[in-house]
Formats: sequence, C-alpha cells, structure tokens
Amino acid sequence: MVSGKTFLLAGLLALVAGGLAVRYWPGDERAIRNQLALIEEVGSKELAEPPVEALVKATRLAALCSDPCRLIVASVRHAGDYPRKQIQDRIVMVRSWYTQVRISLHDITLVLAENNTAVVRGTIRLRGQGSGEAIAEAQEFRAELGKIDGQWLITAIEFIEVLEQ
Amino acid sequence: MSPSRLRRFLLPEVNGRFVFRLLLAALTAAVVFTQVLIPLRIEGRNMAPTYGDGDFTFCWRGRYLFSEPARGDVVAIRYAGSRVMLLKRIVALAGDTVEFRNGALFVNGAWIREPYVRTPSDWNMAPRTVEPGKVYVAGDNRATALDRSHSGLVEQGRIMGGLVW
Repeated sequence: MVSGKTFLLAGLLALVAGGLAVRYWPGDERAIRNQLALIEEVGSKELAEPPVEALVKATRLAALCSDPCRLIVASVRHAGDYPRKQIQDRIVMVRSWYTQVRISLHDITLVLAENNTAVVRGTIRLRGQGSGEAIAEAQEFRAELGKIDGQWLITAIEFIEVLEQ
Repeated sequence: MSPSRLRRFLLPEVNGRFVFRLLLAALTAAVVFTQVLIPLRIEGRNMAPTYGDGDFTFCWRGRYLFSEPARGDVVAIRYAGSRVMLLKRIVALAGDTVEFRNGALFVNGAWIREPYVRTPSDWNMAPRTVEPGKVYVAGDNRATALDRSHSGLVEQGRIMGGLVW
C-alpha cells in the first residue's frame, strides 16, 4: 500500500520535474534565452583580457545581431541602421574603455509572435572598472528578434529613457 | 518552552503537516519579499550621505497606495522590473518649475533648503516645468556634474515605492 508520504514526495518530485521541463525544454524561448545568456557571457570582460580574445568576443556579440541592425537611443533622440561590421567595431571600442566589466540582464520578459519574431524587454546592467573609477550603469531595453536561417537574431534594439535629463 | 517542545520545534517530524507549513512559509516569504517589501542593496554613492555604497534597506510598495509622492521623498524607481532600481529623491512635482542656481535648488522661484545635501555643488539648470504625470528627481550627492548625475524627469508610474528607513 502506498503511504501518504510517498504520494507527497511523488507530488513534489513531479512539481520540480515539471518546473525544470518548462524552464529547460528546447524551443524558441529556450533558444532566445541562450542568446541572452551569451550576451552576458561574451559581453563581460576579465582583467587583462588579450586583444585576440576581445576581438573574438566582439565578433560573437555582433553575430547575435542581424545585418543591418536597428539601434534606437531615446535619450539622445538617435535611431539608425548599422551593418554588423560596424557594430563589431563599436563593441571592440566600448569594451576597450573598461579594464574589466560584467554585464548582466534582469527582469527579462519575452513575447513570441507567430511570424518568427519576438520582443524581449529587460534591464541591462553594466558594472566595471574604467580608467581608475568604478562604473555602474543600468539601461532598460526593448529588443526585437527575428528567426533568420534558423537562428534568433536581434533585428532592432531600443534603449529606453527612464530619466529624462 | 519544555525540552520536548523545544526539540519538536528544532527537529520537527517530517510529515505532511510540516511540509504544508514549510511550503506556506516559503510562499508567504516569496510574495512578501518580491511584491510588498523588496530588499534593496544600494550600489554607488549617488544618494550619499543619506545612503552609502553597500547599505541595505527595503522598498515599501504600499507607500503610495493612499497618498501621492511628495517633495523630499526618497523613492525607488524601476527600470524594466524590480530587480534593478534607481534610488532618488523627489525635488519637484508635476506642475512645479524646477531650477538649479550654483547648486541651490529653486522650486517655483523659491529657494528650497536641502539639509540632506552635504556635498558642494555647482549645478546650474534653467527653469524647467515638470510635465503632468511626472516628477523631477535627483540624488543627494551633488558632487557629480549635472549631466552625469542621473537626475531628471521620471514618470510617476515608475515609482515602485518608498524606503522603509
């Protein structure tokens, strides 16, 4: 005879297994979340990063964007389409400003549409060390993604202005 | 508390009732600390000396349920969610005209005494009217140049709440 405790344990295990399945089941949402995790990983920079590694990371980051990719920065009223190569060069330049930097994404919400597009909203946080001073920045963003040749790429990214200076 | 009760309290029998109470406690804690009292660890010196780097407090979400934000209130302002927030002081409300003259704050033409500002400031800003539905916020540490200070207009809807202490 199966006891109540066994039922309880089985129920808890089923709950955990269900949660894990929802979180890690392969699919479009999982693929997009992997891309976001890649941004955190390759965007971050360790102390004394070799230049070759910096270039490789910038290439990997730029490869997450479509060619061209639309960039909107509300605080400076700027919007423009940038080719992937230019994005890569800009990433190399921005990362060189820091001796070390850590990028993290928070409060991510992801909405998948039927036509192989998705919208991701969240907060990107940047903590690092510039030339002698500690740097901590946060920006709210809205990214549009499209499934291009089987891969989810950022087609547009907008940095939202929270404080209007 | 008798030794047997103390023993039962510290080493409870793992039964259905215990698991139910444990789950209830965990659920309550999760709801309270994600929706009602959000723990905040402060990073940076933007609100110094009121709040320093590494300080800890809670954002009280119920602060503005029955009242409106007021001048002088320290508030938590959200980006995309509640994981990363800005801590700022409201210095002017919707309809007010805010101005800085050599570091001194003027609201509607009247000088506002700010005992919480202890750093010398050279902020200068032409009179600016706060739009409806917005407030003007600034940090207490005015040693940073105005354009790098993360002060400005913010939508009132982004205010998550006040601070507990």
